[in-house]
Amino acid sequence: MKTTAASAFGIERRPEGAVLWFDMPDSPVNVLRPEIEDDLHVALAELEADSPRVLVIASAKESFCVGADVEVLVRADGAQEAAELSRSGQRIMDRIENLPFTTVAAIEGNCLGGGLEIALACDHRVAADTESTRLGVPEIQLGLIPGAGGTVRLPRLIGIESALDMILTGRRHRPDRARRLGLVDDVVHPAILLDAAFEIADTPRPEDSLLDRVRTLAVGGNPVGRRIVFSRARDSVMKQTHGNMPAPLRAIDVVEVGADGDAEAGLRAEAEAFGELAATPQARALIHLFRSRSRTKDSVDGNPRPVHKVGVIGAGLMGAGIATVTAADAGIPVRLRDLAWDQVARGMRDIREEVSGRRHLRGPEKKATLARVLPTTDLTGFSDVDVAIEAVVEKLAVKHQVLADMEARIDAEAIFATNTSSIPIADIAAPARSPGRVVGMHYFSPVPKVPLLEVVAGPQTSADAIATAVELGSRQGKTVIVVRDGPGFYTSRILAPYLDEAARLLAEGAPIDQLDQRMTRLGFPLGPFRLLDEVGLDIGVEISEILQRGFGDRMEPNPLLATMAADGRIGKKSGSGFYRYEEVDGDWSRIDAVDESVYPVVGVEPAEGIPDDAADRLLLRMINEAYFAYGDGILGSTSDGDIGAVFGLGFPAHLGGPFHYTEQRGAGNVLADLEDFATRHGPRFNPAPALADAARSGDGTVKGEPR
Amino acid sequence: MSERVAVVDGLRTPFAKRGDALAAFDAVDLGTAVIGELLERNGIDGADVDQVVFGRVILDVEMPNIAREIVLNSHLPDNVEAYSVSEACITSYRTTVNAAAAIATGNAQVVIAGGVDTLSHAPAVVSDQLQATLNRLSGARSLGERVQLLSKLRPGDLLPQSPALEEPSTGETMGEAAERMAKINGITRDEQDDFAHRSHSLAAQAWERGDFDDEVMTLLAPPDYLTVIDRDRTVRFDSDRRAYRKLKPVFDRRHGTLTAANSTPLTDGAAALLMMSETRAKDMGLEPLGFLRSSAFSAVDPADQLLIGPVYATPIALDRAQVKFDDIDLIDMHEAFAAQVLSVIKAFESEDFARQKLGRSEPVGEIDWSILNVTGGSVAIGHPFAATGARQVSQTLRELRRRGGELALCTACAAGGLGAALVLEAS
Repeated sequence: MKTTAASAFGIERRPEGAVLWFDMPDSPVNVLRPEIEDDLHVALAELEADSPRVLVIASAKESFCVGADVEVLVRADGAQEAAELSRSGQRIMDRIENLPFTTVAAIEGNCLGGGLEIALACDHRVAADTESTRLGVPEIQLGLIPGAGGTVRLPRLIGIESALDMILTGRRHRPDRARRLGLVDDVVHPAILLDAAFEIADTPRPEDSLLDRVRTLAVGGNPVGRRIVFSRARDSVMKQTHGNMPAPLRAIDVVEVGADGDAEAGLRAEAEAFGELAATPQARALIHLFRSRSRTKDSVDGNPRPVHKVGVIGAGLMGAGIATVTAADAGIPVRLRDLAWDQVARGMRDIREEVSGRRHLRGPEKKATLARVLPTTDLTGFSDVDVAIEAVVEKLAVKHQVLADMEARIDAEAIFATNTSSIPIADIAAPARSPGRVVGMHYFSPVPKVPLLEVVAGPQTSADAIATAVELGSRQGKTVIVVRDGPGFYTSRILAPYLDEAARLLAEGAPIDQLDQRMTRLGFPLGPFRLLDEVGLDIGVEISEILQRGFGDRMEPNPLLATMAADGRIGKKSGSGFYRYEEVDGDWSRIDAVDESVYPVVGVEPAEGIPDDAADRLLLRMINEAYFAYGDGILGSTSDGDIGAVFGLGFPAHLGGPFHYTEQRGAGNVLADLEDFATRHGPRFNPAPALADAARSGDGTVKGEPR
Repeated sequence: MSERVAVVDGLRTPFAKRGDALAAFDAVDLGTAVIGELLERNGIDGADVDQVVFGRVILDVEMPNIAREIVLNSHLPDNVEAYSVSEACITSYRTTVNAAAAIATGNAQVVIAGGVDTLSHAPAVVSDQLQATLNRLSGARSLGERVQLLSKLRPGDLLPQSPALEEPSTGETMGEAAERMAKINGITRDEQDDFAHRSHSLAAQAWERGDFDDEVMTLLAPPDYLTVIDRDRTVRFDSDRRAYRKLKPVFDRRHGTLTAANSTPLTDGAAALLMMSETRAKDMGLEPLGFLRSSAFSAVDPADQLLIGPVYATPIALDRAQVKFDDIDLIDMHEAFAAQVLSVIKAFESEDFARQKLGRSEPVGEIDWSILNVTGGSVAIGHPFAATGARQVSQTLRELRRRGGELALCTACAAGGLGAALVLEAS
């Protein structure tokens, strides 16, 4: 293989043609950025002169190419510069497309964004049949669209409908799915990837079957069909984003321009849209989250204990969820215990439902995943667990019993994790023989769906226990933040005042469904009342009590939730809460209507509408408490705080999290609004000192290390 | 044997009649569940298991090595080797003895032995005509040839057939053979019904006393896992002697005495034993249920008394253990049919049988009913063919410990005129 010293591309000549090896020096993965494009232009010029019979583009890394370097985008100043980045990418792809010989992309590992756009510019694509191979255009997840010709070439290759699906969801396809879509020509064993790539260059493309042609014509292949596809896509985007996200709509526009026949116009529209989108606050927020997410584990410095088996105590919703992600995502065997078999049975049913819903698993894999969970009602089978996670009721005495049961059995070095959402780890660890092994692993319901895990470090928790919890969480597919111990940790602590403010608005007469709708339109997945119904009002009340004890008046809850809980209306699990429920197979299922009988229980006459500042009152209470938590040293960084709120509580991603949002809105403005609210609504809005500091700092960020 | 082979623990699933509560489990499910739970209860890391020897009688052509499929489906590491045995109703006698041999010769230290059968999943077979046509179709060259081949099939050829549980060499079913034994040995209908009632009553009492709690695991039935199966579904907990009289004979409707109630049902279930060398068990801090002292297998002409095997195998096993029949404190004799057990007992006690068939001057031994199948047998508990031997060993060693005896005998008959016997000793 011949490689120019600093170039990311090397040309290897073989009897059957040339191989262009993508191999960025000093980087574990291949990414695209301007200097890499320069290297590519140089290599392409050499190849144009050589004119091999066939050119195969392949990667010397474990993945093909993970796309454009986000850091370059972060540095780009404004829409013009970002659009120029797009145009420069388009030029490279055009040059590949116009090479006067057959080109084949040999894809193994991740082939994403700009990486896939390179592959799209080739004449053929062959993918390796490996577990890590994925093809996709995930730009939408950063509030962007593919910017190097993807919006034009993808629809031409796989049809408008499938292309829109990929562009609008960012879905990453496995090789077999990619072949069915027509995204790759062939899928082969990685050992013969290059041979197959050279072979396919000589294979005439098979004619589409009659059925395929009819189908293509029906969906997007004719002007009427196209109009229907685009209008359906727009409707679906509006439903899902409430218009909060510009990128999906722009993506549809751009694909439409390109699909109407003129590729040139499509490319122009793509670059322009890419530039404008890159400058939007939504893209900046999403890029901020993307970068923050990769840094959450930076501060973990202990040595994780290898985990071969996990014990889960409590087979309720949380326990079953934890067992699911452990067995299914981490692939680790689980001993799952509850007191009675019918409780264990419900847990196993939940696990099966989740596992059988995973479409990419084959039948035998589903079976083996389920067989990895070994249910019991006794205490056998815990002696060899590396981590025991308790998910029993939030009662200190019960948690202490479980701790004692486990410490009597588990290995001296094994970890005891508690899935509490509010009890301080220090309290749980108090009677432990080795308090250093006790760590908080706060999961969110439903565990398989909510991406966050909040690992809580008690005052005595060992660095190794923290590292073990973080590593296990990552294997379970979780985004993990590490927070310090304290009432409500971080997430419950900032959620409680938000929910309390919703209760106060209700007490003032705000109709339940209207406030919920206001918050979902803002981008929360659930409104506050639906969330309370799901979580359980009893839990909400318990947490507020803990917080009030910890923080005093600021956290004094409105009595409304306690009144409802006392009336037995504790949400979905009791079949009555803010919404109506009906019993289906022994479980409560929500009917999409407010339970009007709530209003008399809480002594409220619902008003016509809700106040204009309602959403802001909820948001600002959460944000303010996030700054209190930061000031108390609960968080390692403000970006951890943003990650926690977005991935654990459903804080709208396009706002970037409480801290990012505050910086964007201006810390001074937020401070002023809080002061205004404090005057009008009460001292619970008194701003956190850390927020006042941020407002004074000029750029809105909190300076210095938290203490 | 260089070192004693320990049966560290034994566990089985609850048993259920074909098509009943376990119907949703296939053989791999049942095997995986019982092995997984056996290891959990003993705190054994899967990586410490050297070998799995598992058996099955009703075979699945797509899964000839069920033992290996169970390992791959379970949380045992993929590098645990496994092989399967099929030897009719004494299958898990064979898996136990093979595991013991591997341990005794130092070829393995920790072995799981057992068996599983699920009659609910007995694979249907196709007719000979269909099979022949399918064979020819795979070689057919043209559509016309295929159509011609298929056109020769009659509708009846397409129907799947249940595999017949009959002796291939004689064409006689198991029930017909037992019916014949009842006649040869003069076993009456009343004697059989008494025996069946005894089996059900003793098994029910054992359940009520909690004797089975440690040796039978709880299962949650797929697909929804909401059904909790924590007891045998085969045992009649309200066995009423009068009810036995009402049933009609099934194998010989005119002159027969065998009914559904005094025969063992077609059963789903699995059982497994955790076996180790005595030293290894000690090293791991495990207290074995007991030890395997000796074993013997025997065979007779199926046209003779098909299910008489225990009479042949037992004296050999006793000789190998260097003990006398009267030294035995507890017996579990597999109850394929009440008529078969009663026939075997007659032969055990017969001097003529000993002289003519066994070439021995003394009868094998007089049966002490106070030590025979004291917690019920296969007629009540059921008989998932390949699981029965492991079920007997586990049940017997636990009962031996409860009554404080020293030696026990497990014995069984099997299709093909086979017999097996194990002499076990308490820890």
